[in-house]
Amino acid sequence: MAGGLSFLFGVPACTTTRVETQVDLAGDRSAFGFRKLQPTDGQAIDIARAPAGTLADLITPIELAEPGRFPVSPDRASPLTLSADTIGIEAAPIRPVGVDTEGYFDVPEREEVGWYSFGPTPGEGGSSVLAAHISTDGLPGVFRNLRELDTGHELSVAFDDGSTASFIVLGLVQYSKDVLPIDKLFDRSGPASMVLITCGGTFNPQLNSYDDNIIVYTIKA
Amino acid sequence: MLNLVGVNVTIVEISMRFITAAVVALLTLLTLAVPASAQDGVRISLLHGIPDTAVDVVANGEVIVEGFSFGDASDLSALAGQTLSGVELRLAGTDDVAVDVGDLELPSSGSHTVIAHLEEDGTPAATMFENNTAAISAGNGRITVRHTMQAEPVDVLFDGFRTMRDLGNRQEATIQNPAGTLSVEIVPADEDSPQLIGPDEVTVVEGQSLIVYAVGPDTNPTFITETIGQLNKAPVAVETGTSPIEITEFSLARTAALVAAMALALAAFSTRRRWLTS
Repeated sequence: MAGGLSFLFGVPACTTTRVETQVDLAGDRSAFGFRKLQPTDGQAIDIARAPAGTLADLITPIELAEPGRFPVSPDRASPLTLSADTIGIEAAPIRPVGVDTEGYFDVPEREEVGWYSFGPTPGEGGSSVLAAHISTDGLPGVFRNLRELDTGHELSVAFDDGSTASFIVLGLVQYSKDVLPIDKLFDRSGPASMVLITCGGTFNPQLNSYDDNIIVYTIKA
Repeated sequence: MLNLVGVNVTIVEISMRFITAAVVALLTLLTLAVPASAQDGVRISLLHGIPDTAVDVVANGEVIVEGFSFGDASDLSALAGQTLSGVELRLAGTDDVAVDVGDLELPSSGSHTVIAHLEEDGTPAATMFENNTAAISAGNGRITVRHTMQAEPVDVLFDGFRTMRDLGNRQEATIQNPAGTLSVEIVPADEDSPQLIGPDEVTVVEGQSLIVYAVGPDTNPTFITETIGQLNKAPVAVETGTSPIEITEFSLARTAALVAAMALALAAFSTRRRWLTS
Protein backbone atom coordinates (compact mmCIF):
# COMPACT_ATOMS: atom_id res chain seq x y z
CA MET A 1 0.00 0.00 0.00
CA ALA A 2 2.84 2.36 0.93
CA GLY A 3 4.45 1.76 -2.45
CA GLY A 4 1.23 2.33 -4.35
CA LEU A 5 0.43 5.63 -2.71
CA SER A 6 3.96 6.95 -2.49
CA PHE A 7 3.69 8.74 -5.81
CA LEU A 8 0.95 10.91 -4.37
CA PHE A 9 2.90 11.96 -1.35
CA GLY A 10 6.03 12.75 -3.32
CA VAL A 11 8.23 10.55 -1.17
CA PRO A 12 9.95 7.37 -2.29
CA ALA A 13 8.47 4.10 -1.02
CA CYS A 14 10.59 2.99 1.87
CA THR A 15 8.94 -0.26 2.74
CA THR A 16 8.73 -3.40 0.62
CA THR A 17 6.64 -6.48 1.07
CA ARG A 18 8.12 -9.95 0.64
CA VAL A 19 5.99 -12.04 -1.65
CA GLU A 20 6.23 -15.78 -1.28
CA THR A 21 5.72 -17.60 -4.58
CA GLN A 22 5.36 -21.25 -5.35
CA VAL A 23 7.93 -21.97 -8.05
CA ASP A 24 6.95 -25.01 -10.05
CA LEU A 25 9.33 -25.85 -12.86
CA ALA A 26 7.48 -29.03 -13.80
CA GLY A 27 4.90 -29.18 -16.52
CA ASP A 28 4.39 -26.37 -19.02
CA ARG A 29 4.38 -23.65 -16.38
CA SER A 30 7.59 -21.72 -15.88
CA ALA A 31 8.48 -19.73 -12.78
CA PHE A 32 5.76 -17.33 -11.54
CA GLY A 33 3.09 -19.27 -13.39
CA PHE A 34 3.80 -17.99 -16.89
CA ARG A 35 3.05 -20.52 -19.56
CA LYS A 36 6.05 -21.74 -21.53
CA LEU A 37 5.91 -20.67 -25.17
CA GLN A 38 5.03 -23.48 -27.57
CA PRO A 39 6.32 -23.62 -31.14
CA THR A 40 3.69 -22.60 -33.67
CA ASP A 41 2.90 -23.75 -37.16
CA GLY A 42 2.53 -20.23 -38.50
CA GLN A 43 5.10 -18.64 -40.75
CA ALA A 44 7.29 -15.91 -39.39
CA ILE A 45 6.30 -12.50 -40.75
CA ASP A 46 9.13 -10.66 -42.42
CA ILE A 47 8.56 -7.07 -41.28
CA ALA A 48 10.80 -5.64 -43.98
CA ARG A 49 8.55 -7.13 -46.63
CA ALA A 50 5.27 -6.21 -44.93
CA PRO A 51 2.63 -5.44 -47.57
CA ALA A 52 2.21 -1.83 -48.68
CA GLY A 53 -0.77 -0.21 -47.00
CA THR A 54 0.92 -0.67 -43.63
CA LEU A 55 1.71 3.03 -43.86
CA ALA A 56 -2.00 3.76 -44.17
CA ASP A 57 -2.70 1.58 -41.14
CA LEU A 58 -0.53 3.88 -39.04
CA ILE A 59 -2.63 6.93 -39.93
CA THR A 60 -5.77 7.59 -37.93
CA PRO A 61 -8.45 10.27 -38.39
CA ILE A 62 -8.67 13.30 -36.11
CA GLU A 63 -12.03 14.88 -35.34
CA LEU A 64 -12.05 18.65 -35.89
CA ALA A 65 -14.85 21.15 -35.33
CA GLU A 66 -17.13 21.81 -38.34
CA PRO A 67 -15.62 24.24 -40.87
CA GLY A 68 -16.85 27.74 -40.17
CA ARG A 69 -17.56 26.94 -36.49
CA PHE A 70 -15.36 27.41 -33.46
CA PRO A 71 -15.09 24.41 -31.12
CA VAL A 72 -17.52 24.37 -28.18
CA SER A 73 -16.55 22.99 -24.76
CA PRO A 74 -18.98 20.31 -23.61
CA ASP A 75 -21.39 21.23 -20.81
CA ARG A 76 -20.64 19.72 -17.44
CA ALA A 77 -22.30 19.77 -14.03
CA SER A 78 -20.93 22.35 -11.62
CA PRO A 79 -20.21 21.42 -7.96
CA LEU A 80 -22.54 23.22 -5.51
CA THR A 81 -21.74 22.04 -1.97
CA LEU A 82 -19.15 20.06 0.00
CA SER A 83 -19.92 17.95 3.06
CA ALA A 84 -17.45 16.29 5.42
CA ASP A 85 -19.28 14.86 8.44
CA THR A 86 -16.17 13.81 10.34
CA ILE A 87 -14.98 17.41 10.61
CA GLY A 88 -18.33 19.16 10.83
CA ILE A 89 -18.61 20.55 7.30
CA GLU A 90 -22.26 20.47 6.29
CA ALA A 91 -23.11 21.49 2.72
CA ALA A 92 -20.53 24.28 2.56
CA PRO A 93 -21.15 26.33 -0.58
CA ILE A 94 -18.67 25.81 -3.43
CA ARG A 95 -17.77 28.74 -5.64
CA PRO A 96 -16.12 28.24 -9.07
CA VAL A 97 -12.89 30.26 -9.11
CA GLY A 98 -9.78 30.78 -11.18
CA VAL A 99 -6.72 32.89 -10.55
CA ASP A 100 -6.42 36.54 -9.58
CA THR A 101 -4.51 39.13 -11.59
CA GLU A 102 -1.24 38.01 -9.99
CA GLY A 103 -1.79 34.37 -10.97
CA TYR A 104 -2.61 33.20 -7.43
CA PHE A 105 -5.48 30.79 -6.72
CA ASP A 106 -8.49 33.05 -6.24
CA VAL A 107 -9.59 31.99 -2.73
CA PRO A 108 -13.26 32.91 -2.12
CA GLU A 109 -15.03 34.26 0.98
CA ARG A 110 -14.35 32.86 4.46
CA GLU A 111 -17.35 30.48 4.53
CA GLU A 112 -16.98 29.33 0.91
CA VAL A 113 -14.96 26.58 -0.74
CA GLY A 114 -13.22 27.53 -3.99
CA TRP A 115 -13.28 24.99 -6.84
CA TYR A 116 -10.60 25.57 -9.49
CA SER A 117 -12.98 25.75 -12.44
CA PHE A 118 -10.25 25.78 -15.11
CA GLY A 119 -9.52 22.19 -14.15
CA PRO A 120 -11.68 19.07 -13.88
CA THR A 121 -14.87 18.97 -11.88
CA PRO A 122 -14.71 16.62 -8.84
CA GLY A 123 -14.93 13.06 -10.23
CA GLU A 124 -13.75 13.98 -13.74
CA GLY A 125 -10.38 12.68 -14.93
CA GLY A 126 -7.34 14.46 -13.55
CA SER A 127 -6.91 16.27 -10.27
CA SER A 128 -9.80 18.50 -9.22
CA VAL A 129 -8.93 21.10 -6.59
CA LEU A 130 -10.99 22.53 -3.72
CA ALA A 131 -9.37 25.14 -1.45
CA ALA A 132 -10.65 27.21 1.46
CA HIS A 133 -9.32 29.35 4.28
CA ILE A 134 -8.22 27.88 7.58
CA SER A 135 -8.54 31.33 9.07
CA THR A 136 -8.99 34.79 7.64
CA ASP A 137 -9.73 38.27 9.02
CA GLY A 138 -9.30 36.84 12.51
CA LEU A 139 -12.08 34.30 12.11
CA PRO A 140 -11.99 30.58 11.32
CA GLY A 141 -12.58 29.49 7.71
CA VAL A 142 -14.46 26.51 6.24
CA PHE A 143 -11.32 24.36 6.37
CA ARG A 144 -10.48 25.24 9.99
CA ASN A 145 -10.52 21.54 10.94
CA LEU A 146 -9.24 20.09 7.66
CA ARG A 147 -6.19 18.55 9.34
CA GLU A 148 -8.50 16.41 11.51
CA LEU A 149 -9.41 14.37 8.43
CA ASP A 150 -7.91 10.92 8.33
CA THR A 151 -7.54 7.99 5.94
CA GLY A 152 -10.90 6.43 5.17
CA HIS A 153 -13.03 9.46 5.99
CA GLU A 154 -15.77 10.20 3.48
CA LEU A 155 -16.53 13.47 1.70
CA SER A 156 -19.49 14.28 -0.49
CA VAL A 157 -19.95 16.81 -3.32
CA ALA A 158 -23.39 17.78 -4.61
CA PHE A 159 -23.75 19.12 -8.18
CA ASP A 160 -26.15 21.53 -9.83
CA ASP A 161 -27.71 18.74 -11.88
CA GLY A 162 -28.89 16.99 -8.69
CA SER A 163 -26.18 14.33 -8.69
CA THR A 164 -23.70 13.67 -5.86
CA ALA A 165 -20.26 12.10 -5.74
CA SER A 166 -18.45 10.56 -2.75
CA PHE A 167 -14.74 10.67 -2.08
CA ILE A 168 -12.53 8.74 0.33
CA VAL A 169 -9.54 10.32 2.05
CA LEU A 170 -6.25 8.59 1.23
CA GLY A 171 -4.10 10.71 3.49
CA LEU A 172 -2.82 14.16 4.39
CA VAL A 173 0.50 15.85 3.79
CA GLN A 174 1.71 19.17 5.18
CA TYR A 175 4.20 20.81 2.81
CA SER A 176 6.32 23.89 3.28
CA LYS A 177 4.98 26.24 0.61
CA ASP A 178 8.34 26.48 -1.12
CA VAL A 179 8.32 22.73 -1.84
CA LEU A 180 4.61 22.30 -2.54
CA PRO A 181 4.28 20.01 -5.62
CA ILE A 182 1.78 22.44 -7.08
CA ASP A 183 2.07 21.19 -10.68
CA LYS A 184 1.06 17.73 -9.59
CA LEU A 185 -1.87 19.04 -7.54
CA PHE A 186 -3.24 20.86 -10.61
CA ASP A 187 -2.38 18.15 -13.17
CA ARG A 188 -5.39 17.64 -15.46
CA SER A 189 -4.17 14.31 -16.81
CA GLY A 190 -4.17 11.01 -15.02
CA PRO A 191 -6.72 9.26 -12.82
CA ALA A 192 -9.68 11.10 -11.28
CA SER A 193 -8.75 12.43 -7.86
CA MET A 194 -9.68 15.39 -5.72
CA VAL A 195 -7.36 17.36 -3.48
CA LEU A 196 -8.37 19.75 -0.74
CA ILE A 197 -6.01 22.56 0.16
CA THR A 198 -5.71 24.88 3.09
CA CYS A 199 -2.87 26.51 5.00
CA GLY A 200 -1.05 25.39 8.13
CA GLY A 201 2.16 25.45 10.08
CA THR A 202 3.64 28.64 11.45
CA PHE A 203 1.77 31.88 10.82
CA ASN A 204 3.96 34.73 9.62
CA PRO A 205 2.41 38.01 10.88
CA GLN A 206 4.61 40.15 8.62
CA LEU A 207 3.26 38.42 5.52
CA ASN A 208 -0.23 37.58 6.87
CA SER A 209 0.47 34.13 5.53
CA TYR A 210 1.18 30.61 6.76
CA ASP A 211 4.43 28.81 6.02
CA ASP A 212 2.79 25.57 4.90
CA ASN A 213 -0.06 24.15 2.85
CA ILE A 214 -2.05 21.18 4.11
CA ILE A 215 -3.12 18.85 1.31
CA VAL A 216 -5.80 16.19 1.64
CA TYR A 217 -5.61 13.54 -1.08
CA THR A 218 -8.88 11.79 -1.95
CA ILE A 219 -10.20 9.48 -4.63
CA LYS A 220 -13.70 8.97 -5.93
CA ALA A 221 -15.50 6.31 -3.91
CA MET B 1 -12.83 41.07 -23.04
CA LEU B 2 -9.55 41.64 -24.83
CA ASN B 3 -6.75 41.98 -22.32
CA LEU B 4 -3.58 40.97 -24.08
CA VAL B 5 -1.18 39.44 -21.63
CA GLY B 6 2.59 39.59 -21.93
CA VAL B 7 3.15 38.11 -25.36
CA ASN B 8 3.45 40.61 -28.17
CA VAL B 9 1.83 39.83 -31.46
CA THR B 10 4.50 38.21 -33.60
CA ILE B 11 4.25 37.54 -37.26
CA VAL B 12 6.21 34.45 -38.21
CA GLU B 13 6.64 33.70 -41.86
CA ILE B 14 6.66 29.99 -42.50
CA SER B 15 7.29 29.54 -46.16
CA MET B 16 8.05 25.99 -47.13
CA ARG B 17 6.29 24.57 -50.11
CA PHE B 18 9.02 22.01 -50.64
CA ILE B 19 10.32 20.34 -47.52
CA THR B 20 14.04 19.99 -48.13
CA ALA B 21 16.61 18.45 -45.86
CA ALA B 22 18.17 21.86 -45.18
CA VAL B 23 14.85 23.29 -44.09
CA VAL B 24 14.16 20.35 -41.83
CA ALA B 25 17.59 20.76 -40.22
CA LEU B 26 16.76 24.41 -39.53
CA LEU B 27 13.36 23.38 -38.13
CA THR B 28 15.08 20.92 -35.81
CA LEU B 29 17.42 23.66 -34.55
CA LEU B 30 14.47 25.99 -33.94
CA THR B 31 12.66 23.23 -32.09
CA LEU B 32 15.65 22.71 -29.80
CA ALA B 33 15.84 26.44 -29.09
CA VAL B 34 12.23 26.58 -27.94
CA PRO B 35 11.82 26.40 -24.14
CA ALA B 36 10.70 23.13 -22.57
CA SER B 37 7.39 22.12 -24.00
CA ALA B 38 4.39 21.32 -21.84
CA GLN B 39 3.96 18.17 -23.92
CA ASP B 40 6.41 15.40 -24.50
CA GLY B 41 6.74 13.38 -27.70
CA VAL B 42 5.78 14.27 -31.25
CA ARG B 43 2.52 15.25 -32.90
CA ILE B 44 2.02 15.66 -36.63
CA SER B 45 -1.41 16.36 -38.06
CA LEU B 46 -2.49 16.60 -41.67
CA LEU B 47 -5.35 19.01 -42.43
CA HIS B 48 -7.44 19.51 -45.56
CA GLY B 49 -8.03 23.23 -46.07
CA ILE B 50 -9.25 23.38 -49.68
CA PRO B 51 -13.06 23.43 -49.98
CA ASP B 52 -14.85 21.23 -52.54
CA THR B 53 -11.71 19.26 -53.42
CA ALA B 54 -11.68 15.70 -52.09
CA VAL B 55 -8.24 14.14 -52.61
CA ASP B 56 -6.35 10.90 -52.19
CA VAL B 57 -3.04 11.39 -50.37
CA VAL B 58 -0.28 9.38 -52.03
CA ALA B 59 3.15 8.61 -50.54
CA ASN B 60 5.79 5.96 -51.26
CA GLY B 61 3.70 4.90 -54.24
CA GLU B 62 0.62 4.06 -52.16
CA VAL B 63 -2.60 5.82 -51.23
CA ILE B 64 -2.18 6.53 -47.52
CA VAL B 65 -5.36 8.54 -46.98
CA GLU B 66 -8.31 7.93 -49.28
CA GLY B 67 -11.11 10.40 -49.95
CA PHE B 68 -9.59 13.15 -47.82
CA SER B 69 -12.19 15.96 -47.82
CA PHE B 70 -12.32 19.60 -46.77
CA GLY B 71 -12.29 19.85 -42.97
CA ASP B 72 -10.86 16.33 -42.50
CA ALA B 73 -7.72 15.73 -40.48
CA SER B 74 -5.38 12.78 -40.03
CA ASP B 75 -2.83 11.91 -37.37
CA LEU B 76 0.59 11.24 -38.92
CA SER B 77 2.40 11.06 -35.56
CA ALA B 78 3.22 7.35 -36.01
CA LEU B 79 5.27 8.29 -39.07
CA ALA B 80 7.38 10.86 -37.23
CA GLY B 81 11.02 10.89 -38.29
CA GLN B 82 10.27 9.17 -41.62
CA THR B 83 10.72 10.65 -45.08
CA LEU B 84 7.67 10.17 -47.27
CA SER B 85 8.75 10.12 -50.92
CA GLY B 86 6.75 11.41 -53.86
CA VAL B 87 3.92 12.88 -51.80
CA GLU B 88 0.99 13.94 -53.98
CA LEU B 89 -2.57 15.07 -53.41
CA ARG B 90 -4.58 13.61 -56.29
CA LEU B 91 -8.19 14.46 -57.02
CA ALA B 92 -10.07 11.62 -55.31
CA GLY B 93 -10.37 8.51 -57.43
CA THR B 94 -8.22 9.92 -60.25
CA ASP B 95 -4.56 10.26 -61.21
CA ASP B 96 -4.86 14.06 -61.54
CA VAL B 97 -2.33 15.66 -59.23
CA ALA B 98 -3.74 18.71 -57.39
CA VAL B 99 -0.62 19.29 -55.28
CA ASP B 100 2.83 17.82 -55.87
CA VAL B 101 4.53 18.02 -52.46
CA GLY B 102 7.60 15.96 -53.38
CA ASP B 103 9.61 14.36 -50.59
CA LEU B 104 8.22 15.16 -47.15
CA GLU B 105 10.57 14.76 -44.19
CA LEU B 106 8.40 14.41 -41.09
CA PRO B 107 10.04 15.81 -37.94
CA SER B 108 10.82 13.37 -35.14
CA SER B 109 9.79 15.70 -32.31
CA GLY B 110 7.63 18.67 -31.56
CA SER B 111 4.14 19.53 -32.75
CA HIS B 112 3.57 20.23 -36.44
CA THR B 113 0.65 20.64 -38.82
CA VAL B 114 0.75 20.02 -42.56
CA ILE B 115 -2.17 21.71 -44.31
CA ALA B 116 -3.35 21.54 -47.91
CA HIS B 117 -4.54 25.04 -48.78
CA LEU B 118 -4.76 27.72 -51.45
CA GLU B 119 -2.04 30.28 -52.05
CA GLU B 120 -2.83 33.97 -52.45
CA ASP B 121 -3.50 33.48 -56.17
CA GLY B 122 -5.62 30.37 -55.62
CA THR B 123 -2.96 27.77 -56.49
CA PRO B 124 -3.33 24.60 -54.38
CA ALA B 125 -0.32 24.03 -52.12
CA ALA B 126 0.79 22.36 -48.88
CA THR B 127 2.56 23.99 -45.94
CA MET B 128 4.02 22.60 -42.72
CA PHE B 129 3.60 24.82 -39.64
CA GLU B 130 5.39 24.34 -36.35
CA ASN B 131 3.02 24.60 -33.36
CA ASN B 132 3.90 26.37 -30.12
CA THR B 133 3.37 23.98 -27.21
CA ALA B 134 4.93 26.13 -24.49
CA ALA B 135 2.90 26.07 -21.29
CA ILE B 136 0.52 29.02 -20.81
CA SER B 137 0.42 30.96 -17.53
CA ALA B 138 -2.58 30.14 -15.35
CA GLY B 139 -5.83 31.78 -16.34
CA ASN B 140 -4.87 32.32 -19.97
CA GLY B 141 -5.23 30.67 -23.37
CA ARG B 142 -3.76 31.22 -26.84
CA ILE B 143 -5.23 31.92 -30.24
CA THR B 144 -3.11 31.57 -33.38
CA VAL B 145 -4.43 32.72 -36.75
CA ARG B 146 -2.85 31.33 -39.94
CA HIS B 147 -3.54 32.90 -43.35
CA THR B 148 -3.99 29.93 -45.69
CA MET B 149 -6.59 31.33 -48.07
CA GLN B 150 -6.88 32.87 -51.51
CA ALA B 151 -6.59 36.46 -50.36
CA GLU B 152 -4.17 39.34 -50.03
CA PRO B 153 -2.75 40.18 -46.60
CA VAL B 154 -5.34 40.59 -43.84
CA ASP B 155 -5.84 42.16 -40.43
CA VAL B 156 -7.48 40.29 -37.52
CA LEU B 157 -9.66 42.24 -35.09
CA PHE B 158 -10.50 40.98 -31.60
CA ASP B 159 -13.24 42.87 -29.71
CA GLY B 160 -12.97 45.56 -32.36
CA PHE B 161 -9.23 46.10 -31.86
CA ARG B 162 -6.98 45.65 -34.92
CA THR B 163 -4.71 43.16 -33.14
CA MET B 164 -2.91 41.32 -35.96
CA ARG B 165 -1.83 43.37 -38.94
CA ASP B 166 -0.78 42.64 -42.50
CA LEU B 167 -0.83 38.86 -42.23
CA GLY B 168 0.10 37.38 -45.62
CA ASN B 169 -0.49 33.90 -47.03
CA ARG B 170 1.47 31.28 -45.04
CA GLN B 171 1.98 33.75 -42.18
CA GLU B 172 0.65 33.42 -38.65
CA ALA B 173 0.18 35.56 -35.55
CA THR B 174 -0.61 34.66 -31.95
CA ILE B 175 -2.26 36.34 -28.97
CA GLN B 176 -2.43 35.21 -25.36
CA ASN B 177 -5.46 36.36 -23.40
CA PRO B 178 -7.33 35.58 -20.17
CA ALA B 179 -9.96 32.89 -20.59
CA GLY B 180 -13.23 34.26 -21.91
CA THR B 181 -15.14 35.15 -25.06
CA LEU B 182 -13.92 37.53 -27.74
CA SER B 183 -15.49 38.76 -30.93
CA VAL B 184 -13.27 38.12 -33.96
CA GLU B 185 -13.27 39.23 -37.58
CA ILE B 186 -10.80 39.11 -40.44
CA VAL B 187 -10.68 41.91 -43.01
CA PRO B 188 -8.26 42.97 -45.77
CA ALA B 189 -5.22 44.73 -44.30
CA ASP B 190 -5.96 48.36 -43.37
CA GLU B 191 -9.58 48.00 -44.48
CA ASP B 192 -12.87 47.59 -42.59
CA SER B 193 -14.58 45.52 -45.24
CA PRO B 194 -15.38 43.10 -46.69
CA GLN B 195 -15.46 40.91 -43.57
CA LEU B 196 -13.75 37.82 -44.94
CA ILE B 197 -14.32 35.93 -41.68
CA GLY B 198 -16.83 36.86 -38.97
CA PRO B 199 -17.77 38.75 -37.01
CA ASP B 200 -18.08 35.73 -34.77
CA GLU B 201 -17.60 34.80 -31.12
CA VAL B 202 -14.52 32.79 -30.18
CA THR B 203 -13.80 31.34 -26.73
CA VAL B 204 -10.33 31.54 -25.22
CA VAL B 205 -10.04 28.30 -23.25
CA GLU B 206 -7.67 28.31 -20.27
CA GLY B 207 -4.57 26.20 -20.85
CA GLN B 208 -5.45 25.60 -24.48
CA SER B 209 -4.10 26.80 -27.80
CA LEU B 210 -6.69 27.36 -30.55
CA ILE B 211 -5.31 27.49 -34.10
CA VAL B 212 -7.57 29.14 -36.66
CA TYR B 213 -6.84 28.55 -40.36
CA ALA B 214 -8.45 31.11 -42.67
CA VAL B 215 -9.07 29.03 -45.81
CA GLY B 216 -10.96 28.93 -49.05
CA PRO B 217 -11.29 30.79 -52.36
CA ASP B 218 -11.89 34.54 -52.48
CA THR B 219 -15.50 33.89 -53.44
CA ASN B 220 -16.23 31.97 -50.24
CA PRO B 221 -13.64 32.37 -47.46
CA THR B 222 -14.14 30.38 -44.28
CA PHE B 223 -12.05 28.81 -41.52
CA ILE B 224 -11.15 25.51 -39.88
CA THR B 225 -9.71 25.05 -36.38
CA GLU B 226 -7.33 22.82 -34.49
CA THR B 227 -6.76 22.75 -30.72
CA ILE B 228 -3.82 21.79 -28.56
CA GLY B 229 -4.81 21.16 -24.95
CA GLN B 230 -3.01 20.35 -21.70
CA LEU B 231 -0.85 23.48 -21.93
CA ASN B 232 -2.02 24.78 -18.55
CA LYS B 233 0.23 25.90 -15.72
CA ALA B 234 -0.69 25.69 -12.04
CA PRO B 235 -1.44 28.89 -10.11
CA VAL B 236 1.52 30.61 -8.43
CA ALA B 237 0.39 29.59 -4.93
CA VAL B 238 -2.65 28.86 -2.76
CA GLU B 239 -2.93 31.40 0.05
CA THR B 240 -5.71 29.98 2.21
CA GLY B 241 -4.94 31.60 5.52
CA THR B 242 -4.45 35.27 6.29
CA SER B 243 -4.80 35.36 10.08
CA PRO B 244 -3.54 33.17 12.90
CA ILE B 245 -5.72 30.34 14.19
CA GLU B 246 -7.51 31.54 17.35
CA ILE B 247 -5.90 30.47 20.66
CA THR B 248 -8.04 27.79 22.31
CA GLU B 249 -8.37 27.06 26.03
CA PHE B 250 -6.35 23.88 25.48
CA SER B 251 -3.48 25.91 24.11
CA LEU B 252 -3.54 28.30 27.07
CA ALA B 253 -3.36 25.38 29.49
CA ARG B 254 -0.37 23.96 27.61
CA THR B 255 1.37 27.32 27.72
CA ALA B 256 0.77 27.57 31.48
CA ALA B 257 2.19 24.09 32.01
CA LEU B 258 5.25 24.96 29.93
CA VAL B 259 5.91 28.10 31.98
CA ALA B 260 5.55 26.14 35.22
CA ALA B 261 8.00 23.51 34.00
CA MET B 262 10.51 26.17 33.02
CA ALA B 263 10.22 27.76 36.47
CA LEU B 264 10.92 24.41 38.15
CA ALA B 265 13.92 23.80 35.92
CA LEU B 266 15.30 27.27 36.68
CA ALA B 267 14.87 26.74 40.44
CA ALA B 268 16.67 23.40 40.25
CA PHE B 269 19.54 24.93 38.29
CA SER B 270 19.93 27.75 40.82
CA THR B 271 20.03 25.25 43.71
CA ARG B 272 22.80 23.29 42.04
CA ARG B 273 24.82 26.44 41.51
CA ARG B 274 24.72 27.28 45.18
CA TRP B 275 25.89 23.76 46.05
CA LEU B 276 28.87 24.01 43.72
CA THR B 277 30.09 27.24 45.14
CA SER B 278 29.56 26.48 48.82
